[in-house]
Amino acid sequence: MSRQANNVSGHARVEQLLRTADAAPWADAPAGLRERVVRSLDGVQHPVRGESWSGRQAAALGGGVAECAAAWHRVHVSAGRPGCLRARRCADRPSRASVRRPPARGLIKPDERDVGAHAQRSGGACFRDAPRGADGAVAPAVCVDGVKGLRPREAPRADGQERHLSPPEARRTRRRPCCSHAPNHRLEYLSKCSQSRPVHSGRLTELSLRSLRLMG
Amino acid sequence: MAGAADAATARTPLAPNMPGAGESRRPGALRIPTDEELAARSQEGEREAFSLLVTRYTNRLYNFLRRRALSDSDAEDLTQDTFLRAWTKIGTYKRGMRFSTWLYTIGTHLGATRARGKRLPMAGSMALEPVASSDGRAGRADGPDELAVRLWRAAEEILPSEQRSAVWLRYAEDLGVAEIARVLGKSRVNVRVMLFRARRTLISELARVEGNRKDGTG
Repeated sequence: MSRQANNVSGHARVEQLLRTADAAPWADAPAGLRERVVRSLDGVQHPVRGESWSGRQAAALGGGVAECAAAWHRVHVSAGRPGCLRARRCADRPSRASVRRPPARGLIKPDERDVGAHAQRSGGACFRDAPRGADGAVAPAVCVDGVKGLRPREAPRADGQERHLSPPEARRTRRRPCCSHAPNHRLEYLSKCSQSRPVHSGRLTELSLRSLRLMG
Repeated sequence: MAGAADAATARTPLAPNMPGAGESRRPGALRIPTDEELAARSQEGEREAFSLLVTRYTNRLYNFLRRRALSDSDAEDLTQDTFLRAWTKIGTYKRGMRFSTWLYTIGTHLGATRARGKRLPMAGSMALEPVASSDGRAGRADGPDELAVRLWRAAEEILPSEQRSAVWLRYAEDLGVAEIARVLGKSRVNVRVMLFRARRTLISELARVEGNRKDGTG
């Protein structure tokens, strides 16, 4: 047998011997070591769900506990600002990435896809009554019921026909902030806005909620 | 002290894919949670799950750290500190990672820090004292596994510390090369080389032992 083959068989043999059951010299841990370990853990706060961050305490402060995007994380909403997750940090992980965010601008939620049908059902009234800009166009992509459209629409003409805006017009209107204090918010988030300011006439939020309920 | 049953359980390094370590194959059989499941439950704040991990790992961790610490009492302290650190950092445990790897990595780092703080030489430059096991396994040299026992003893006595740790993790704890590399803070190639050199040393030792036996002096 060659020297190399000898070496290979030697390594294999050593491996086999080292893997022999009960051959490894396991030592018994000293008496009481486990208890000592467990005792040392008493009173140590859990890093993720420590007492100071319990849901009960958050609730006592007037806030609440919301589920975070990560399965086991929780977002603790502090007192006085219920609901708006956007401004919150995940209590467990200080990165905002783990917090459930509102969809990015331009993304359409499933319940908003049927805006055309909604306009038809309301006979265009929702658009006719919507606040108009200086150029007479309907406020950005949103009808008075708070239903956001896929594409901004101009107010229906007298004959009931609607005209889609041209792409530049659409971009312009889409950029228009929905309210002054939350320039990046769109109407669908205003009911969750941390500052809880009235939205336009105040009627919009109420109507939009009703409308969304009706649309089911 | 961990009971005999605990010690026996703790001594058996069950890999997650080994029967008994994970989900039972037989329908209706009692399901034993894996270490990783227990770690995940610990992350959610379940102290009992972590307590079970402590039971499972006290002996194993102690045995590993004993090979890296300067004394048995150091190994005890390190075991306690490692569990404490594991509990306070349980949020950083990544699901899907083997729990033993994560735990041993913490132990290794703590051991290195402690040795540095005391200005002591890095782990275990001295040979390990033979262990006194309750059932005398390690001291036994007359059974069918006599050669294996002698080989382990030689490994404990003549191998350098890092090689000894690598051999222990590979053949006693059944960790993979990548996992050993993570625990010891080495590259995979480095671990492979360490294991190769350790085996080469042990081959020579084996030849010596067998030569002695033939001569009737062993």
